[in-house]
Amino acid sequence: MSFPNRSRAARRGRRALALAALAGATAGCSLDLVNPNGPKEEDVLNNAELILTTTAGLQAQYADNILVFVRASELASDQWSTRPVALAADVSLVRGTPDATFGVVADPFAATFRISRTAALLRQNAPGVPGLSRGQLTGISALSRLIEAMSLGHLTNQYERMPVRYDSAGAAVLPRAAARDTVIAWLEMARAEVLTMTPAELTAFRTRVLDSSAGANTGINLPATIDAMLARYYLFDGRYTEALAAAQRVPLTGAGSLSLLQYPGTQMNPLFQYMSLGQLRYVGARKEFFTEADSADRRPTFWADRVPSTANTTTGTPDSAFSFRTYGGTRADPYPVYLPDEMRLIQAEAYARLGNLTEAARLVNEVRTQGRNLVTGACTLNAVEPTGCNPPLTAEQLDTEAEVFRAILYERRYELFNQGLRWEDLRRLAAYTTDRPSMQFLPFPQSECDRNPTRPCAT
Amino acid sequence: MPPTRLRRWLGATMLLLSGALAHPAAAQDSYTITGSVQDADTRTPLVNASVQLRNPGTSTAAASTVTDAAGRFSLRARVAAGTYTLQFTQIGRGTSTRQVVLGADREVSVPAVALSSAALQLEELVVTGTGAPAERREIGNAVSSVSGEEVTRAPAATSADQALQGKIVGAEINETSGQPGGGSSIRLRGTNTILGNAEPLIVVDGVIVDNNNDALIGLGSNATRSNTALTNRLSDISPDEIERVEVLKGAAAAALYGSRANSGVIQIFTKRGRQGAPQISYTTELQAARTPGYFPVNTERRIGVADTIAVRALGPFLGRDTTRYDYQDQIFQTALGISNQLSVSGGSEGTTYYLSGNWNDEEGIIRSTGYSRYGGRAKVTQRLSNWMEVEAGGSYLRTRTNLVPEGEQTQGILTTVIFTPTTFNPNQFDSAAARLAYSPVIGTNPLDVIQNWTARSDITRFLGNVRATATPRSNLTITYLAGLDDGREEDTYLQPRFATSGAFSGSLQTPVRSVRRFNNDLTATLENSFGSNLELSSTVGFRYTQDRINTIRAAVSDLTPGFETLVGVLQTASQGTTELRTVGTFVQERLSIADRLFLTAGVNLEGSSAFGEDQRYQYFPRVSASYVVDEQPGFRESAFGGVFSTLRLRGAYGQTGGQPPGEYLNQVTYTNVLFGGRAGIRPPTLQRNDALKPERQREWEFGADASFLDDRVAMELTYYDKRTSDLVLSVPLAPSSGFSSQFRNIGELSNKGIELALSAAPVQRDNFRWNTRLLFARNRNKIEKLNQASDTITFEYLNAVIEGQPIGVFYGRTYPTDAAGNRVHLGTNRTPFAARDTARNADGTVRSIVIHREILGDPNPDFTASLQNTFNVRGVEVGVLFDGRFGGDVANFTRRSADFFGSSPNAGVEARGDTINGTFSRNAERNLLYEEFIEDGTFVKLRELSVGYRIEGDWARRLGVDDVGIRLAGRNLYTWTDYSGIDPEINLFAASTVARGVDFATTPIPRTWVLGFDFNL
Repeated sequence: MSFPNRSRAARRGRRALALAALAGATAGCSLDLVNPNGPKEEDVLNNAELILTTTAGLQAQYADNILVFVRASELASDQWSTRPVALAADVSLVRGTPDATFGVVADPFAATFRISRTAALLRQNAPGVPGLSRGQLTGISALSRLIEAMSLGHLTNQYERMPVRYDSAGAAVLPRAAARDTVIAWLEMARAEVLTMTPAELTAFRTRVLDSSAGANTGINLPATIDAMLARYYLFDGRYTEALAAAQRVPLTGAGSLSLLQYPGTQMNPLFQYMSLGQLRYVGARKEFFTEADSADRRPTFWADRVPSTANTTTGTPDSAFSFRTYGGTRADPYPVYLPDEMRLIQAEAYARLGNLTEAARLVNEVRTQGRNLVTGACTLNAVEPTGCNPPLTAEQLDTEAEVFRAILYERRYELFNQGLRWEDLRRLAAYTTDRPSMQFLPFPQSECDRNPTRPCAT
Repeated sequence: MPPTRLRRWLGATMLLLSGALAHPAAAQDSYTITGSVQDADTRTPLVNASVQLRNPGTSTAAASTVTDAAGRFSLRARVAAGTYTLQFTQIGRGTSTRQVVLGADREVSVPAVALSSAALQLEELVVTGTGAPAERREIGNAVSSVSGEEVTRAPAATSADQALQGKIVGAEINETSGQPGGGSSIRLRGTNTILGNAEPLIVVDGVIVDNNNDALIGLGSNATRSNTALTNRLSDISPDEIERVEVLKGAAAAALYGSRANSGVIQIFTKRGRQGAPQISYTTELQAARTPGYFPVNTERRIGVADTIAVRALGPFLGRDTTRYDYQDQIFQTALGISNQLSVSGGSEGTTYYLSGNWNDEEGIIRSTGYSRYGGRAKVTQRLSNWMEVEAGGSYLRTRTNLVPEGEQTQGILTTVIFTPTTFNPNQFDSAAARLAYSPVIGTNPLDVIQNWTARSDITRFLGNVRATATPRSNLTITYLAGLDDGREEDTYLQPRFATSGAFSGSLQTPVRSVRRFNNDLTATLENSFGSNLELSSTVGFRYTQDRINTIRAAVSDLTPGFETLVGVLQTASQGTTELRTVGTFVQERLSIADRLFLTAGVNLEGSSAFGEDQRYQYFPRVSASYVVDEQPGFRESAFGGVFSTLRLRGAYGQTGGQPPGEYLNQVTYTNVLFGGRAGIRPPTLQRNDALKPERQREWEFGADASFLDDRVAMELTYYDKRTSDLVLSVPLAPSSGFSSQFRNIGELSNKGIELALSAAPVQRDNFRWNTRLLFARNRNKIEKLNQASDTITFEYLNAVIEGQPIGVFYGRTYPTDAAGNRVHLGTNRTPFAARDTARNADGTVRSIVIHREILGDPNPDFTASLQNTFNVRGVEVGVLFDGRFGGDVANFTRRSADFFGSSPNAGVEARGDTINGTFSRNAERNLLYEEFIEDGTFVKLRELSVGYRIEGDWARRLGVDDVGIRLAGRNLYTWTDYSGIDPEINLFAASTVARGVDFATTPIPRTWVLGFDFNL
């Protein structure tokens, strides 16, 4: 073979090279790009590790929304007030004039049903994912039901009607009583599931998913929290025997007496954040929270800081507001899902409702005098629990139903600050107090009226 | 199937190209034509005049060049022998033609050609979106162009966009903040999107460059809102380096830019070298700037309620005398600046080069602020063979901008002035805290911010391109362009320990954003003649773009004094990466009939990684027609011929697209969260949309260009009708859906308007020349369709998107009135106005609340107009540019806050007892009555004023230079307006798409004086 065609071959070679370069350029420009900023849903729902991470995220969805869940209750009742630079929407809660279009009205809905969607995704998909143990599957199911129930529970304390679970195609709206029945039903389902878990499975689930620290009461204590919530909502529902039983299952000391949501590192306690957003402090404890307390009561200063005293001179509404102290005074403060004295006071109220005033009075005084040396009158304060250090009420002060309920209402006010329960208390025990919330319920959110395909507001 | 479709396109492209190669060519020879071009009046040589050799009987150019510094040209052409037309043009002057016969003699010299100054710009070359340049007369859409000379001459314009103010009809260019570094916002024929970016696409030398305006650190509007930066990246391009700017204002012109051109395109061409001896030019400018005004403050000597609310300790002294402090002279300063620019250009046989360096250093009108820029640029062109030329260009720059917080930022310096009653003395030393006193309202001391804070933005940026142009046949041009924009922005925002309160542990943010944009274009143009009257110019192209943005944020608290790097307790560490790819191919045919009727049709097929899977590839067609009436035989003799010197009618239609507001909206990606220190993820609250496609604009445009009286008066008139549909809107979903919203292609808006450019050269004598130009543009924006007719989408405070209304109207609470129409007051003393009606039951509980919201104003101007006059009297050149916006409203939130917090003179009115306490101070109800704060923002600015003189001849030679120019000029020297604030042009939300016309303690646009010298060697 000779080489007369060499130049032609070279030219052909060059052409082939050019074509290859063009092909290469075209191949490099695939338009199917994957978002590098997070895992895709398809991957998440088929991977055990990512399912467990989503379960941690579900708890964060609750922990990050506690402000949204309790804000309206605290501002509409006599617990919080707004500061002079507060947002108009918050002021409207103090005044009882929120517009149905306000974020403060729709926020609890949005938080609850996003939680509901995550919970449903987990329960639907986890069983098919290889690599999850039986204990983990049961735990995921029970925990997702618990968190869904806790969120919906907050809604039942604030609205007259609401959907109970998310539905993109149009969620049905139920009256409050029916929604509370749903809360209780879910909690009972979660309780039944947890009862099938062995202690080893429970411990493994706790260290893997529920709590990343060593503290006895950090994170959500699954069985105790389920019981605490059952006690709370059975009481609100008027099922006192069940409330009593559930409250008695919750330990009053040691592991399970508290479930503290943690905000370490870059996280921030949402109550603290709202109370102290830069210089613009939106909310704080209301002046009356101090002035209406018994003189010896040490609990107001457990919850809030009555300095600087200059804040006290502000007149009118919005009223003066004082910085939070415990469970909201610094960015890393934990937040208690429930407090042990709520269980005592649930028992007290249940006993009183069931006719056992003596036991109710004993429990009231137990809460009231906590920390006080009844002989010397000395007070031992507790860092994690409010301690009243009050002298006990006498038997004569607690010998009528009205007196007991009035006392329970008082104790609940100073024990359960920032828990979002005062509004419900003022409605439930309205007969025993002259304190009135600024309004009875939040309006039904306008966005839900407008966008829910079932037209829940059509008359 | 998209890939198959793409392949079919490529196949068609190849066929067309091979057809081109098969076209027979006549015997060709190489000719060199030389000559010179001079000014018809002064006989001075004209630099940079365009010289084209026209193919016989056609409008296509066989070869072209430009004149050098001595006005000379040397044009090389490979053509067949015959009679040709040489056409001479220069921007701002008339056209001239010469017949030239090319025969046996290969070296042809033509006598000197004179071009007279004319107001006309009808015959120039423009680049029409992409591909081969065309003459303006050949295209059916309006293209506005601004010459580099005009851009460079703009006084004290730090950035290119400032230099363009008032010079482009149909472009609303606003400076949005007076802080240094140039923050401006450009709207071409109105706003054409709601959630997308309404700023135009910026293309420098064919390279799509970054014009990001997302703030890395929040200094203007609050971080919780859409965070638009105080500066924008167009400011990175030095006006001195610009040779020419062309603006494509809508879909009819920009279809070939496809899915990113809905907001229009600004094409910038940078300077290039000319053949000849090295030309050295040096420009230096000194500038001084001042704020046009101070905020009015309370100077009443008595203590009023505004003071006692802010400082409770003053309570007992209500009504007594006090000292008031207006410390604005400690905040504002006379800002000095210098800018220098040195360039060397030239070239020899086959090579040209242009090298330049620039250095800018200027202070801002607020103390401690400033801007500096160092940049260098090189452009080299090399002819490789008689059919191939390669050009490589690159520029590198570094800028540093020192800013201060303003606007909504509570630590803002001007914000503090507005928010703090004037009993506050910022110079007072707080001995308890051992530092300057805290503001009783805000905390932050403004003088402390000036002295001790750092808010700095550092930009490093490289822009480069390589272009290869091959003309294997005289009628075929193939161009390959690869362009790169690689930049990095590194910000530092340091708020020292104790800066806002005794409890504040300090904060330091040091975000970094790297942006890389790459584009790759291949274009081929084939010109064919069919007989003497028919020509076809075919262009096919392929474009690939890839943008990648990587943002890393980190912030710490608990600072250690003395450290300006991240030392402390970590608050944030995050990263976000986005990538966007588009691939497109286009075909365009331009038919020229008898050199007077030009028809263009083209289509662009483009795919984007951001479109939903079901909508990956999209078509963007265009058609246009241009009819040069004056070329019609018999026109000159007709009645029209007596009126018009030239007359052209044109019409165009085209479609473009807009990218969805996010790169990954077609995917579902989980978000990270933390629970008790444990890593978690959660589903996104956005519902995905597989059918997401580009926003699509359809534009019709009709116009006429005419000149009269021997080209002494010229007119361009255009009517356009733009409709942008498939607007991506975030459709809110019911809270019970478990989602917040979904992006859907659901909205529609229109922009209709007219543009009129009138230019005239009324006097053209040796000793006195006067040129004048009036630009007028009227645009009507209307939201045609939203998700639901009743939807009101509010952006930031008040700007709303409402069906049937212009975009961004102010929508807010009005005075409640009773049945008789009287204003309803709240309370017994009738002071605070009730912003809402609250109906109560007998027990005091609320029955119903009615909030009255109405459309209170419209920030979009009714029309914009500018008037430019240049006079040349015995060599002294005087330029005056007035620039105005008429009929746009401004929300004066500065006044609102000043009244509410009691720093304004109204607090003094209360303190004097001239009104009831609480009328203004802390009147929360009035504060919600936005009706009270909407004002007419109509203004006319004396945008530019300059007086210059050029010394040539002996005087100059004695200085050792060819010529020296001296110039005294000013920018924004005066504003005529009824607006009660300082400046109606600024906007708290900077370049935001919808939130416009909001004045909230934003730094006013400075008045700037400049003294400049330029030398040519």
